[in-house]
Amino acid sequence: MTNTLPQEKSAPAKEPPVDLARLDRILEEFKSAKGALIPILQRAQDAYGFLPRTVLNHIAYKARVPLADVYGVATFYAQFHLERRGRHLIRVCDGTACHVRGAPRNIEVLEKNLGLVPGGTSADYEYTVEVVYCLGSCGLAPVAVMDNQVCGRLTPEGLVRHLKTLA
Amino acid sequence: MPLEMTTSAVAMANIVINGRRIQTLPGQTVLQAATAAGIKIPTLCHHPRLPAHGSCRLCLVEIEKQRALQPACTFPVSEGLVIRTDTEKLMVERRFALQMILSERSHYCMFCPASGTCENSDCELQRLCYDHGLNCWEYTPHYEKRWPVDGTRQYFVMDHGRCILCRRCIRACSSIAANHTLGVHQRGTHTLIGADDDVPFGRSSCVSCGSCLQVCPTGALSERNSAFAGRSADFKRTKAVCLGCAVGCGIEALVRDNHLARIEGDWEAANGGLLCAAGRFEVLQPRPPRIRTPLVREKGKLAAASWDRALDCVAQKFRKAERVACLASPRLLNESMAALTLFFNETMRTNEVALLYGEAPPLDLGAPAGLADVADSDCIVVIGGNPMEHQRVVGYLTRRSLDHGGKLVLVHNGSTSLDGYADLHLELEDISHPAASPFERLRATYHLRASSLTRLKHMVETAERPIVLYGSGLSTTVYVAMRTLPSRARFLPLIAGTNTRGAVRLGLSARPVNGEILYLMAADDLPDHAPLPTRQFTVVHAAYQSDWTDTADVVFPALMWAEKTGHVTNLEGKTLEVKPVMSAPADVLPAWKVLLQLSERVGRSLTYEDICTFAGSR
Repeated sequence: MTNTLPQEKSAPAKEPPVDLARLDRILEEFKSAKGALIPILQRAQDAYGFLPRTVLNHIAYKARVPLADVYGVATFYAQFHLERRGRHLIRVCDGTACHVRGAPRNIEVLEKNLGLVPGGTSADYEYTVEVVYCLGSCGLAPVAVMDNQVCGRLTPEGLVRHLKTLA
Repeated sequence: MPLEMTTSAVAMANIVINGRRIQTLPGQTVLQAATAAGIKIPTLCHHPRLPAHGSCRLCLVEIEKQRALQPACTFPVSEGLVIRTDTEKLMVERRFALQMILSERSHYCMFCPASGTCENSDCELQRLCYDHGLNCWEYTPHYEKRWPVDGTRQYFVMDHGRCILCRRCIRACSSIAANHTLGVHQRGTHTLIGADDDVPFGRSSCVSCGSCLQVCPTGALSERNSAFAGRSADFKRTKAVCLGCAVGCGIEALVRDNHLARIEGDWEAANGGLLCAAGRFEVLQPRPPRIRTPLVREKGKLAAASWDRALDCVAQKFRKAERVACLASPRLLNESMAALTLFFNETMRTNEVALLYGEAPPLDLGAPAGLADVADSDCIVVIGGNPMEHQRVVGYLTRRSLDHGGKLVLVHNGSTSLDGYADLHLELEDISHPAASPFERLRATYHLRASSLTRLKHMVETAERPIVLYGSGLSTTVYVAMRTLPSRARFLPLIAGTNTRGAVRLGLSARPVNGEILYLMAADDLPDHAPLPTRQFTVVHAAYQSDWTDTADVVFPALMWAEKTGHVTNLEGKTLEVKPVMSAPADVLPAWKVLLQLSERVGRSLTYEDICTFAGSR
């Protein structure tokens, strides 16, 4: 850890205000730990649903890690998200097995039903759709995981039915 | 053979490179051992002044009993290593590495400022390709992808299309400048060098020290001022001293056709290659028109005149004058300072000689610290100064010490860009009389409370290599208290004005002067300081046109910093030799020569020996 940020950067204008008290409690837990950037980012993402710029700035400032490094780690790992995500996470598989058994049609139906913006999140921030390549359940192809619940042998109709149960 | 061999008591390691037996120190890398033995291993991401990284795979070598090829720049030597650096297998691997690098971005040399021929290319990648006989792309680069170009920085441009992600810039930013602005963002083929949280470089925490520019091996970072002005080999490269402030950093000036094109930090000097934006870039910015001949005011207008006429005109005025006053820029070299002091004190018999600006605190507080010691200190006290603004390289070195776990005690009022780093922040008290007029309060006096002083002392006492960076304007009691710090504390004065320390040694300081004639020795300074005193006749000795020369009665042309020869005394008290990097216009003389001629005409002539004796006696 280095002595880096002279002062905390102010939040970008377009970002809604973020309550940093929760982050401060997380940072307090890791106060004496060295090299704890990834666990801090994970906990922060759990708390906020994603990693707003204000949160990254605050972590850099409080943990005394260069902001460029915080941003570098957050953009390196696929598990970290810098854009706001939907309340429900739907991960649809488009791996080889799912693809040949009709996954593209399922994805098309999802996109149409949820009105997704680029980035895979619906305009009302209710749903985020991620297309993944293999969930390790090829026997159930085509498969999707909706809020940690595995749904196999999906048809477009079945998919819509499942969506309704999510809300 | 490595120098360390003869000096160190540590057991040597015996290794074999390309069949040659080499003795080396454990702790050295294979690359260092090979370089010391004169064996060349190609490198790209490696830079001798930066921590090793081992990402480009150009320095791969074969080491017996190692499963795979190993990068020489990160592989430590140990007893009995048998290494080969020149096999056909390695050439194939290196060519492959180069082909992969070329395939990633648009390395389209024809439009790159760093491109050149085999012998004079500024691009290390291009040179390696020539060396390894690459004459075609084995993997077609995908030119359809548009890599961004970031031109938001004032002095240099980043073209991501030419970046090879060697991370030299990142390492320079963190380990040389201790600024930590740059980092690697994203991953895989999307990887980009970025600043802070991916803001444009020009709006980031970058301080434009240019360290990244100096180490970039390709044309990814190119300076606006010197891009396409020629290859490095086309320029005359001269080691010189930066006269921007009292630090006196070592620079290398690149000059072509008597035109100053680029400044680089001198790796061998005390600043270790580090410069600030003022020293590296601002000095190359356009200046006002140059004064090339003496000018004399006739019928209200300044007109060009011969040296004889101008000198006669001034000498005549000087002979008649009751009192002549002189203000001198602290950018003058020791020789000119000495000539000036001698001329006015001895020839003109006046004490009205002062500096235009520039302050130095007491210089005898304790053992002096050198620039090189700052980065190694474990506790730095900054009291009554702002190195990040006025002695920026000292500021950067201070922050480098913090990266190694050093403590920072900041004593000042107001705010500086070091504020966020301080482990202890103490306030100074303004004890100048509140009712004093602005003139009397020309300089406020600051005092430190006894309780604060105790806390400061405690921090210094618990440190092993404490360094005190102190400015002027503090109360006597503070300076007295600083003398009582433990004797291992060392002191570096934060002096304002380039050669103020040299001037102080000759008895000059910044103070008001009075006289009917004012001799303003402006050198290459421009008016942005206090207004000049009232006078009837003004002689200005200046390199550039300004308000000063416009209102003068006689103007003498002066040398600018890059044309001067002589010596300067920096804030450490070291006398640095100043050598010219370019030649002066035909009719421009050094200031001391002009003063010698003037003294002859006034009737009490001085000689060069007088000046040397005077300068040497102090």
